[in-house]
Amino acid sequence: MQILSFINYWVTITAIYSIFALSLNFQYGHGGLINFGQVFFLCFGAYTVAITAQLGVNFAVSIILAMAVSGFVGFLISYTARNMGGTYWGIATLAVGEIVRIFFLNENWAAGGANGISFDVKIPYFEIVTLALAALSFGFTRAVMASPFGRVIKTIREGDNLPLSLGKDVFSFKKKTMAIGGVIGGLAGALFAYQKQFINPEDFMPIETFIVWAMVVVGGKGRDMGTLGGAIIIQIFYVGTRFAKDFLPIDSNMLAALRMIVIGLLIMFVMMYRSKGFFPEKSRLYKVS
Amino acid sequence: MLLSIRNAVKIFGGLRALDGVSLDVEEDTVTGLIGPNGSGKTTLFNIVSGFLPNDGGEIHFKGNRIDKLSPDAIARQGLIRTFQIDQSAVEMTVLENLLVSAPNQTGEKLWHLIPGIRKVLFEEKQNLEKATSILALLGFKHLANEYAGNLSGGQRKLLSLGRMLMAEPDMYMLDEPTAGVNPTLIKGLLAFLRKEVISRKGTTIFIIEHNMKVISSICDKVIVLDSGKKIAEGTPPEIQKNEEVLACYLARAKKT
Repeated sequence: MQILSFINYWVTITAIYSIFALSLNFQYGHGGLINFGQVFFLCFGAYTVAITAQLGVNFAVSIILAMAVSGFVGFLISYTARNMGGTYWGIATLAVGEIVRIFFLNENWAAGGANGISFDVKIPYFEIVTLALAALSFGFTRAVMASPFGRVIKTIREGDNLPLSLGKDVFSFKKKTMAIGGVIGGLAGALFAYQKQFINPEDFMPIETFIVWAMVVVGGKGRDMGTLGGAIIIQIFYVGTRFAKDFLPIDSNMLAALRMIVIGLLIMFVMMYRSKGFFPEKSRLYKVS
Repeated sequence: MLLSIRNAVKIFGGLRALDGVSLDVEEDTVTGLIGPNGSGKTTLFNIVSGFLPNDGGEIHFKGNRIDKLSPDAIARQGLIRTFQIDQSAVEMTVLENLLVSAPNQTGEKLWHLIPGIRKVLFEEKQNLEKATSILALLGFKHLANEYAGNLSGGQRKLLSLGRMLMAEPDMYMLDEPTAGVNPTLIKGLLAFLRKEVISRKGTTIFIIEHNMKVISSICDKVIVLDSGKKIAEGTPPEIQKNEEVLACYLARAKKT
């Protein structure tokens, strides 16, 4: 019975992180936006759900609100990308992520500060709902990337000059990319909150951004299927190492540190031997008559 | 007058890269822009295409003032440029490079994707047909699904011309299309330009070129820049005889 509930937990958390990784893959893998503050989407999504669920808003509405809030945040943050290129913008987003977390940590009136918020809403068939939403997110990103819109953001990934010279409003495309990434990331945050039933600022440390980056890089940036694969691989390592203490003579503090080392080594291995990830990006092939 | 530039000025620190340049490009002609290295040719292109803001003067295209517009807005008015350094999207296929170049695609607007799906699919089909015919012109049919990054330098120059054909601009601005291309391919490139681009009615080309053979074989008019100033303007034979032009090229050659 215990093993069943563990599998249930693992599948749900992997599905949630898959959605989260899809949102980063959309922005970075497809759109080339280096976002080191991805965790702020998780944070806004989760807090929106926690606050609204406490007020008695139902599941579907609270999730939609979370997606809207997070998408809007993405849209706002994209304005900083106007005059900042690549990695500089990445550093700025890292700062934004921390600002958001520290805001929730110190402003007690907003969401309980360090004590966090807990709410008790049980969603029937939550794991199935989560899996369905993960599948939906996957289908959605695939559909967008198959469209002419997707083609333009893929061009922007390689630099602004070519799309600008072809008359594409690059900044507007970046805003939309961030907003879509925010909507998907907000969904992940909402499900994260419903799964934990309790959130506090500790849940939104920069390490979450690091983990989701690891998923995209290990899986293969620019390929949604790869991102799902990456999420599964990283989650196996992440959760699997918990069992290591049953076999190895180490305490849980050391184990937590060891876990990050293992993931770091995995990233190094991928960078050295499979720089495009385990599932490299594929271009759409056309039949030319 | 398709393009008219009046007193364009560009200052980089203490350097006046463009010092009051005025010139006109007439419709349905090929206008060449030559000058020694550092004379301001590419700076002029960057100012006209909006990639650099100008520090003075006015630029009009099709009667509209364009020098305060963003590069993408200028491109949407029908003025498309190429770059001296290749900008092909190397992680995309040759065909995708062409498809993305088609102007005014409905499917680029997110809100039109669902209600306008039939229109989007129809446009995609049309663009694919157009891109296929351009691939045939370039002799690239077998490379359609190849990554642009796998093409040679010369092939990428051809691809940049293909992207322009796809974009169907009113004016082509070519920044050294033959730089770094071997002589045989230059001949092919020239033949391609003449046959597929210049012969089209209403095609206007503004071209930066160092190769005098290319200039004299396709240009109706040549403008010469030196140290940010226009020093001569005329037909290719006139320019080749112009003493001031010869002096500026020779003086530079002596210095180095």
